[in-house]
Amino acid sequence: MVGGTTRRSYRFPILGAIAILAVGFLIWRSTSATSAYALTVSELLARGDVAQGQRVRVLAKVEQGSIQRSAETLRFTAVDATGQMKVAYGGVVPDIFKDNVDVVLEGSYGRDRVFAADVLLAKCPSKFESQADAELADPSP
Amino acid sequence: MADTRIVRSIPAHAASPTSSVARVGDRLARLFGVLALLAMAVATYLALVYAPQDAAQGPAQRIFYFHVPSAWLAFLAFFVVLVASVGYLWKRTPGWDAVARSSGEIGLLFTTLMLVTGSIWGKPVWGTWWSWDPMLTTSLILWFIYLGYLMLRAYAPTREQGARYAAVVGIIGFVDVPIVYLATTWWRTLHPEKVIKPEGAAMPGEMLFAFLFSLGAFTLLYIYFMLQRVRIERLQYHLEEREDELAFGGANG
Repeated sequence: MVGGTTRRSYRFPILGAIAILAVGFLIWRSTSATSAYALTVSELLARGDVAQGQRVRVLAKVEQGSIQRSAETLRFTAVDATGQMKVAYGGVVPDIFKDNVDVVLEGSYGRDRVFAADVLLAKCPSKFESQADAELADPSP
Repeated sequence: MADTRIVRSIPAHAASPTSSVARVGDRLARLFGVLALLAMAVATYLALVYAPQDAAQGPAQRIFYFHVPSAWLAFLAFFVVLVASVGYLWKRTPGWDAVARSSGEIGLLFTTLMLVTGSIWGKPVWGTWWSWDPMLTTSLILWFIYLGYLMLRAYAPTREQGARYAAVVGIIGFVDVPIVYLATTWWRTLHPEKVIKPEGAAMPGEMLFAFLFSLGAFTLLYIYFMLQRVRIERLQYHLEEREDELAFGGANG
């Protein structure tokens, strides 16, 4: 049970420290301003034609009244403070997707100036509201 | 208890299983066990029945009352690991190490619960089980850090070495906790910003009450788990010591 200090036993803290530093470096690298989790609409549009066909992730808001549902495709306009772009999406739509919800889109901006998304995630609002109160304020279903 | 003569023949140590400190600890553990059980039952009722349905998310939002307290407990547990690790490196007494190890295990358990409940919540509301967003990624890294922390202890050649290395990891590893907590403030994420801010909580009073009650119930559960887990550590420590004594005595006799 009680063994002396061996040379081998020093590998653990050294390897451990290296692993922790590596993880720390990865966190810092992957989340620094130049490589954010998602672009904004304005940032994507500012890239111009270079961005066409490149796979990107975009964080945007669904413009009020822009949602059009057809049999296969969901179309809407994604906006931020200054930019806007049309989006087409053909997959499963999250439950809370509606006007003015923040969404994360993955896909590419095409030559037809439509963002073809194959991933649509809804960012849940950072506030909770009682359903009963919400119905009182807005009786429409 | 079966053979008290053996217990008497070995000198009593501070906080040995038969000391008064240990007996007070056992009684406290039982008390907190009952309190935690009652509080968790009430918290479950408040979360599932009493709190109103959320307008945007529906029933899925009720995971909030378990998800956020799990995260809180993980952070609390890792903070205790940090303090106990500093205590161990300073004093080198087995008590600090027992607290650090126990809290590390409980913290890893609640980090796992935080990741699992978050994933279950994310599927209906976001539309995905997982996304490599900064908060989720740093949370997963947190899980790996403390998994490594426990593995390091298991692989170390002696208990004392394991305790020393783990204490270093327990201090450095805590760096990730504020990063996870502030991820939504620092970077663009899929995860929502904090619902409770210094200005007030963006939710109805009943929801806030259910949430705060759940936080309290989880905290009681942590205290109960800690008392029990540290008790097991203490028993194990004395068992190992006694084994060494017997082995030593046998070699000489």
